[in-house]
Amino acid sequence: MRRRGFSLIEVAIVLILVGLMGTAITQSYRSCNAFFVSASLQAQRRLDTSRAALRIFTAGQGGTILADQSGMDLADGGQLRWRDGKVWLRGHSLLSQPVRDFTLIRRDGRLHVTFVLEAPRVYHGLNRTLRYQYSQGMGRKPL
Amino acid sequence: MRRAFTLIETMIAAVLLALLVTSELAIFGSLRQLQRQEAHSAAARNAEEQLLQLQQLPFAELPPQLLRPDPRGWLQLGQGDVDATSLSLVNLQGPLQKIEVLETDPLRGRVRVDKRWAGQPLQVNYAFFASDRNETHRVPASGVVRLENQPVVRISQVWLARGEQLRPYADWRWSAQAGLQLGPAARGRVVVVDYRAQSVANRVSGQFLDQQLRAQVAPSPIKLLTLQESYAGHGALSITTLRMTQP
Repeated sequence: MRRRGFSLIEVAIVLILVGLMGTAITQSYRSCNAFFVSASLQAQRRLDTSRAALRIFTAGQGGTILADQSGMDLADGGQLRWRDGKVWLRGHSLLSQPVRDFTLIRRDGRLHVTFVLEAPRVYHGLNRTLRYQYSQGMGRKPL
Repeated sequence: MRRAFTLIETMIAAVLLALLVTSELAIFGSLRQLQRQEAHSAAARNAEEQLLQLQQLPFAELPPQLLRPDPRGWLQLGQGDVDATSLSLVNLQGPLQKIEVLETDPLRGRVRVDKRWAGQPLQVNYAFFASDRNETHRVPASGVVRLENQPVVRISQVWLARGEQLRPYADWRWSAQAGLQLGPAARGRVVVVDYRAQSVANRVSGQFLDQQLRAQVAPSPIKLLTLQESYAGHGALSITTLRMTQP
């Protein structure tokens, strides 16, 4: 008996299934990629902010915090300022990423700094903003 | 005649499905791992803060405590936010005897026993929940601040920062729906919030130790304090510290 070809319906169904499968695989790859990029950038930001905090704690000995908590007049006449989305220490930016908020307080004689950064890429389940808080003389030492 | 799928066709379909499922599971697993790491590092930082706080509190105000009930049988503990399930009292005069607790006010750290114990020295063993400290926020124009750890159980204290100074700030309201709402004076300013959330529990308990650092029921000049921090349902950190009275 002569083998019959596929009908139009069969071919259409196969094409739709292949299309759906391709879309799902592409989406999956994209979200996987976005997640790992976000995660690695977040880890990098934690490291960057912890280094910045250490520099602030070192420079901030004997300094005076500004009334709006956004910076400090250092004991040696230098300045720490949060301005234009950057944290500046003696005129040099401590972080390459934009800083949405920066606060500095002193409690029980120790400095506490908080950085609020924009999350690098948004993957569902990760925060849109990242808060990093450090206390003088505490926590894991930055590398 | 209509033929069935061949083995190869079925295997290809199964492999494609498995690939999809595996990549999704990998993301999910990594996300959980990342959340665990974040929660753990926050818990470790918080535990260090708590430990420092414990070292600064007066020896006599940490559990276990030696107290005498007032004429109505009330005892005021050195710490508030007490874990009511942890309370146990013993009489230190005469034969060792457990004392029944008639009433507790865990938030204010108050315990009532029978009036006949009034004025007698009792040893009160208990655990309390310490607050997360130093969460700092710049208050937006709306006056509403969203705290990091949720759900919030109790806000212990709100401080208003001005330069080097922190002053207690009383004009705030908290509700589960609206969050922490601060008064007009705080808007645009920085507040520091000490609070306790359900997701992070810092439970502090204590016991007396003898000179050889063995646990004992009777009072001694050495206390072993245990800080147990459970965080975000991911696990718990346990840290112990010794406190001693001045020689």
